[in-house]
Amino acid sequence: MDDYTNNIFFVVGCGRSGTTSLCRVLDSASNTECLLEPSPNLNRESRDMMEGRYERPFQLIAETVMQRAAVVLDKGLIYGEKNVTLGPFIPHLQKISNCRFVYVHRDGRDVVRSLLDWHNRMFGTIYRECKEVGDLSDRAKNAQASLPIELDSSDYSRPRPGSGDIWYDHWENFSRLEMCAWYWSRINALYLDKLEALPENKWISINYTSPDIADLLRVAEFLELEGLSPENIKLQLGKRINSLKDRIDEGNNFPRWPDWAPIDRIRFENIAARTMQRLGHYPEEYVRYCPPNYGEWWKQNEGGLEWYTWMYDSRLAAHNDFQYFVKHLDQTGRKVESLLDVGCGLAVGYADVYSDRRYVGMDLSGKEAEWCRQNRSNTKHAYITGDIIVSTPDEKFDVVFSHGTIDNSYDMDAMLKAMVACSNGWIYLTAYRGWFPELPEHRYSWDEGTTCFYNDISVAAVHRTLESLGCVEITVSPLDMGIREGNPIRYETRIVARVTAVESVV
Amino acid sequence: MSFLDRWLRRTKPYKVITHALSREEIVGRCKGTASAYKELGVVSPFSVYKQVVDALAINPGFEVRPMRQLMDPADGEKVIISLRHDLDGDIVTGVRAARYLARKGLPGTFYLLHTSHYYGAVENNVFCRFAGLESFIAELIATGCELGLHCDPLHLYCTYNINGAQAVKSEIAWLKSLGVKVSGSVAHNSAIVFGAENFEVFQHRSIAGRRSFSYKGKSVPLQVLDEGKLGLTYEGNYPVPPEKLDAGKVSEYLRLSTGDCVRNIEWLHYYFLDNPFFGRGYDVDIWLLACDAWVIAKRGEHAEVLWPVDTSGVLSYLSQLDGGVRVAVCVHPEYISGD
Repeated sequence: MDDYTNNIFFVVGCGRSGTTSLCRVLDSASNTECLLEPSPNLNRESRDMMEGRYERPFQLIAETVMQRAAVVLDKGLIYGEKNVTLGPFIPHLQKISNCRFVYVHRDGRDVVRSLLDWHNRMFGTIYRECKEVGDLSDRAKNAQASLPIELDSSDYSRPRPGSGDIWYDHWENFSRLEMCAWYWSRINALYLDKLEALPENKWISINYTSPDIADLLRVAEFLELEGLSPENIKLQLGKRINSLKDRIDEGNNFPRWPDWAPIDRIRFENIAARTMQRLGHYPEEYVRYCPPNYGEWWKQNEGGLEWYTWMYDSRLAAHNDFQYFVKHLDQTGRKVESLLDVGCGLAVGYADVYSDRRYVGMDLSGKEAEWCRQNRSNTKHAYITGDIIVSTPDEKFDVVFSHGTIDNSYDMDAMLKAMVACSNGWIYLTAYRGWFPELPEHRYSWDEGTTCFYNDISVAAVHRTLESLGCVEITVSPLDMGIREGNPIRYETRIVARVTAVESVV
Repeated sequence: MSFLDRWLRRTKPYKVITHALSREEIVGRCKGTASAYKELGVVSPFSVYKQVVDALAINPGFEVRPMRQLMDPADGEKVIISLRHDLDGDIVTGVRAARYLARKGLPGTFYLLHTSHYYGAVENNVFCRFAGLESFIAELIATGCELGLHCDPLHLYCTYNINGAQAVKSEIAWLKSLGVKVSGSVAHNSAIVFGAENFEVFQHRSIAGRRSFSYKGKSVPLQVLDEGKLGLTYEGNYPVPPEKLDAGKVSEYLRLSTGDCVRNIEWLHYYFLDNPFFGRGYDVDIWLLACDAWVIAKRGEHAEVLWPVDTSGVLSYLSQLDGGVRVAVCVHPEYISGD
């Protein structure tokens, strides 16, 4: 009996990632027909499926995809199809046809750029609810005005955040860049989740950011395609298939990501950094983008002793809790001899409480550290200016702590990592913006006015980071700050962890 | 009447200039409207609108169509629903609503009131169209919603003695020049204000075929515009004018048309079911008229007016309608400007 296993494959991936280009290349093989978005393309069904509203996926696949596959199979050829809407149907496609998948991915920043150009120059219909209309060409304006929403299945097919998504409430105010970043991140995460659940021999991925001939030949070999020559592949890649140049003979308009405004780089990272890391477009040790003017406002605006004292008093519950923590360590045979205070300000409270111990205060602002050096004379104490992420002290401390600083960091995980790196005992942090047990990821937000981040810290993400750093006795818990006049936040986040792989404090 | 008197009393031509009122100033005016409605206690939070849209988006028993297709053939399997938005005073919330529909992929129809404080104003017998309006229209076009004209020629005729029919023609042309595919209109206000319906300015839509009506001693022309020539294919009330006016009903209707009549069930009964000026061609009207308070008016067999009905009640009502029933859900955005 003939074996039709592996006679069907699907090219899948986020739109603008090179799927059309790959499809055209593969179609030139001698033993396949690879169709480009054949109808019906399942636009509406795809989104309904993602939102849990579609009830008959197998029937849909059987009545649509498999019908057209049958036509090609009857010719004795391998059937291939490219459709960016197939993500939610991957398990069903696999089950019905035992097919294989080629997953195409591309640097999210390039995809976002391409989507924005696609919107501004060609169609004007990418995320039509966006508060930005866009800088539309006449072609895009006409296309937009001619396509009523009820007929726009392409825009419908793009997912939107559900009520459980951390960006659900923010979506209304997103820029189009943010929406496209979210789309890229969401769709690629969907593809990865679906494909990683399949046997390894059923899918292959290709990074189409800068594809080379060897990558495409590897895909062809995986699919058992014949007749593809390096020369032909090189020719096809050179055509930049489906680019703006190819479609309407125009060059890209939106800048490449190194030339993005800092606010756009931040916006992209806020949303897509984790997927960039997951796909390997960011290195393992990637530190999030720090805008050039980060902290400038704080450096130029004096806090003053009165303000820092008021700040200390307004978060007394957090300071008391920390001091009890240190006292507990002292009383249980783990005397704390040295402490590093990250984001020390003017060292209000701590310079006095820990006058008998080695205490080092670290702050981003040189003014604060200088004031401390001038006004707090204790030979056991020191004050340094710096960003702990890039200037992690060589000295090791029994306890490295930070109050209400991580909320304003440009990379909370990197800050945790730096704190762990200079601790030979414990880390302790409080985050003043609240308690967010529902967040699967940190949620970053940048304010250009105060040149600072205002972040919501994810309990799950903190656990992941500290566990990956080998920490134990990790506690991430709500800290009851009591009812405070003028402050609606009742619970802050407290993080405590013991650092291992070093000798414990005795 | 002397020649001079005739000259002074003539209907002035509709002339338009662009007024510099900016987008920010229009936003301010709309916020003022929202505040005023809030003071009256009739504003719902935007979440009420979202609740309705979300329900319409997920119910397979509903088919949501733009208003221009409300009366198109249906297979009788689904309830046909059109979302009508009369942009009387708050285009800012109107844009917000259009964006939410785009997020859900649902069609909605938005009618721009050309005599509204966000659109323009008459100064020295010239209509000053606000420069800041264009950006709002661009935003509405971007959402893919259907846009039409909320017709108010009688206001111009009766209040300013300016040719309202020319205004309708001119504003439709202007909207089209911006890329709006104008295919329909919906009459603003009702006959209780001036004594005629705004749609009577169109040929074959007047009551009893009348060619004019009298307002404060002045004759106002009717049936002066050809919808076909303007590219209009429908009037959103799908009006069925009576063959003649029933004076008794008119008198009673006008008697009830005072104060807060739009939230008076007796008046609502007249307006939707027993309107002496026109009937409607579709089956059900559901209008938001106060904070989480809708009126439901069903014509035909088992005709009824239900008021007030909360949003959950409206959704329950819709879900029990038979397939093939045609419903217009009407929202004035100022009523959903709560947050």
